[in-house]
Amino acid sequence: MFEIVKKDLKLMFRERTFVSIVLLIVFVAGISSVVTFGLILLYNPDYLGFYGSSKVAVVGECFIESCYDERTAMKLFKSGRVDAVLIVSDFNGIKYVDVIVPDDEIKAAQVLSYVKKLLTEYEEGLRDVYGVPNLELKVYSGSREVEIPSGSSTVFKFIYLILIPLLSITTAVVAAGMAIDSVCEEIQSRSIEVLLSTPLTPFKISISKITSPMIFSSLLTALWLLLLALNKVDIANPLLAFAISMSITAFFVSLGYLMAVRFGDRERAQLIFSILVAGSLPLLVTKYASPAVMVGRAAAGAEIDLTIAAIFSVASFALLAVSPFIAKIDKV
Amino acid sequence: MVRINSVLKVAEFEIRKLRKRYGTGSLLLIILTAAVSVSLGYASVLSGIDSDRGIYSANIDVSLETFETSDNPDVVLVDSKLFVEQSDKSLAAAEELLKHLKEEHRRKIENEFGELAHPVKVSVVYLDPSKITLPEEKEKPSETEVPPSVGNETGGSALKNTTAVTTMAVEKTITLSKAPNTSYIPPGDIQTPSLVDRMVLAFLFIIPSYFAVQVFSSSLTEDKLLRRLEVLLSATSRSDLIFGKLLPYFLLSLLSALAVSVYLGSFLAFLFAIPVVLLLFSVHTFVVMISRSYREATFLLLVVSLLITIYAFIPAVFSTAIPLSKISPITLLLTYIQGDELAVIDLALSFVHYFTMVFMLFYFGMKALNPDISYGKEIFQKLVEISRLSVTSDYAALIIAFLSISFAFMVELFAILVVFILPQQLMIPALLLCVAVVEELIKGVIVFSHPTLKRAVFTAVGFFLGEKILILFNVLKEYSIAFLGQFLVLPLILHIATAVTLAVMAKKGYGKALGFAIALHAVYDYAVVMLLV
Repeated sequence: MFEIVKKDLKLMFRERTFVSIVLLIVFVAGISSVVTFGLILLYNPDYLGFYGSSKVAVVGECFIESCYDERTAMKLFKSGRVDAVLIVSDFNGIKYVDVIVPDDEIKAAQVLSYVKKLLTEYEEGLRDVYGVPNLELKVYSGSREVEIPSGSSTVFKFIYLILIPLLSITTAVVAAGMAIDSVCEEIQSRSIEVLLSTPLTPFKISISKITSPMIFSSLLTALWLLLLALNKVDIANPLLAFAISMSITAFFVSLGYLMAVRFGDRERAQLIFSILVAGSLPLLVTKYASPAVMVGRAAAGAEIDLTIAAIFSVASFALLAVSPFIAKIDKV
Repeated sequence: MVRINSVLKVAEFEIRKLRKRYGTGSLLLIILTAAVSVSLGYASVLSGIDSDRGIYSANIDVSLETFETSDNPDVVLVDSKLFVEQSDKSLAAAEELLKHLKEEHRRKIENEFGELAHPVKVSVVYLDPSKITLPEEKEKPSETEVPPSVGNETGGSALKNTTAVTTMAVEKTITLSKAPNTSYIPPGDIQTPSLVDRMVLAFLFIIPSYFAVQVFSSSLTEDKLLRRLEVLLSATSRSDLIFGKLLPYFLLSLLSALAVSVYLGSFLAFLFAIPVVLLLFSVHTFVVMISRSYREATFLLLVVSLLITIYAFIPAVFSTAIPLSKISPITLLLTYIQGDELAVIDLALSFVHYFTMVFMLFYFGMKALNPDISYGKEIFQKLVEISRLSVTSDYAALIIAFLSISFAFMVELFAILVVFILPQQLMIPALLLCVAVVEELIKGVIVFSHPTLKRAVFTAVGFFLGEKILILFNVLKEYSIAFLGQFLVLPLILHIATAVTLAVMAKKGYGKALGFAIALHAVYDYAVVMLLV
């Protein structure tokens, strides 16, 4: 039986499967900072926070130094010497500000972050004058006052609640794909008949077909957890994260195996499996009780519902163990 | 030549095969699975996101879903002081809590002070600076003079005055200038434009194609491994066979993209998806042809699909910040949907770039449809073998080297993404090394087809011409330092020198020849960049 596991794993290495996946993960980890930057830019352009780099021209009520008349301000805006024009007018003590920014998203995002900060300060100053209290709250790290970088929470949630769950799901999908391929290859090339004529029982053949993807994914999971740690992403509870991630793999590999044996051809098995995964993906990454989210939460050091995690893990491994009985490889 | 009849016959065969495989039972199952998938997706939309429930902790009870109380909290709030640790989680929790406290405070002062709680109100107007036309100057305006605000009397927009003075050729401005007071918001509520919707739109065009391509490559792999392709080849040509098998899936992808176009009301938008979809099909064809087994095909396909997705979609993220992003048809697709103008040169460059790769991948894929290549051998050996079958003369070497610049360009763009994360002093050397590796590998594959001096020179000249074309169209303007773009003769000498090295050393093994050529290329580039630039 171990011979089949060894053969499958050896094939995987020989065929550069493992190498290509490792390269892929290293590549994704390598460009993850660029991709993260891009995605965060999409999701929350404020994160860019180019506070110091924008120039604005104020027209009307002058509350900063760079005040101009409208014509000059628009001229400066047209020539690109200022990034925004603020036209301020007073009505019963309330300042109405028209902010003219370029219609190009990235530039607008940069300059609006700055304008937002500038006008918030202006607003706070005016509140003091009108006797409206501002929120007085200072942030300290030890005895030192600190400023919280804008977007910290977005980045944190992106890494632990999107990136890590996705890595976990990808690993499980790759392992399930491997199970489907290795079963279908034996069936379609009819080598299963040869295997069945050996002293190996059908049960042992099935078990070996699901063992190799499990070994593969355990190596892969350990690898990406390590890569994240090297990228300075704190993994608070690596063992728990690893265990839940492996139970997702167990569940997916069981599904893959069952579909492969039932359909007997790779095309249908892979197609139906991918449609199911694509459909459940949104639930898997948005729900508190989703095992993939639990992997991220365990890595973040946040509490998880241990009962659900335990039930899911036991159920997944139980399904993996009984799948050779549900779909018998010798009955294809 | 592609014969329509023959292609249609193969397509018919493929559809029959599909029907047989996806008979009523399977089809019902697929429809059922798709229905389950859609309901699962819909359920997630309906039930919302709660993955962040209680992810942070504080010492006090905060009326916020994301917080829970803990004895070992991420943040500690005492009076008007918030204490944090220097960890990502603590800083993230502090940001979230601060945002919440600001909201609470805002509600409190709004109740107590009404209008005065927000003494500043803002309205944002997006304008294209180049479209502003300033009217003739009647008298020279003084820099210090502040004009009276007209908006005061009506309490309306301050812009009213501006539009009177400056004629802005943008309808939006005029509508906004007449907008009522309610369009003014407190500065804290300013929303910076989000690009997420646009990306989702772009994905809508391509996602159905992924399934079509997957079924296509599965069917092709099966036919190849069961040696059906060889039987079919006795009755039809390679191109008819591949295009015939591909036709039903391509039409399916096209139809789905067209449906999205119609849904969005911009009917021609699907045209921009074609290069990306065709690139997916061509790369899958090529990968299937060089793979020995399902397993190998699955993983190689996964890798190339992901790389193509990154290559097509990442530039769209930076669409307005980096001019180079226009090389992706997805960037152009989004621009088109938005109703902005497209420059013909951008369209031409992007489409030619993608179609060149598509053409070459199909061409090499067909050449690889050969029992000698299909089974056994290392991937690099296979590439050389394919090159031997494709590059049949020195002129062919020149043309293929010229066209292969598209691939070099793609890989080098990835290299730019990767070196972006390195420390600054390492960026240029790393980029030069990547460029050397990519260019020598490509030239190597072509030269090894027939390692003679003449072939080497023709390959070098072809590659040099390709590079010059890119420079001509200013595609690589920002990165021309790495490609020695400002010199004419130096790169030619370099390419000839390394190609000749490859040809001469080929006998001693491809590895050695490539290693030597790459080293020569890298050292030469580095020396020239350091000494001359």
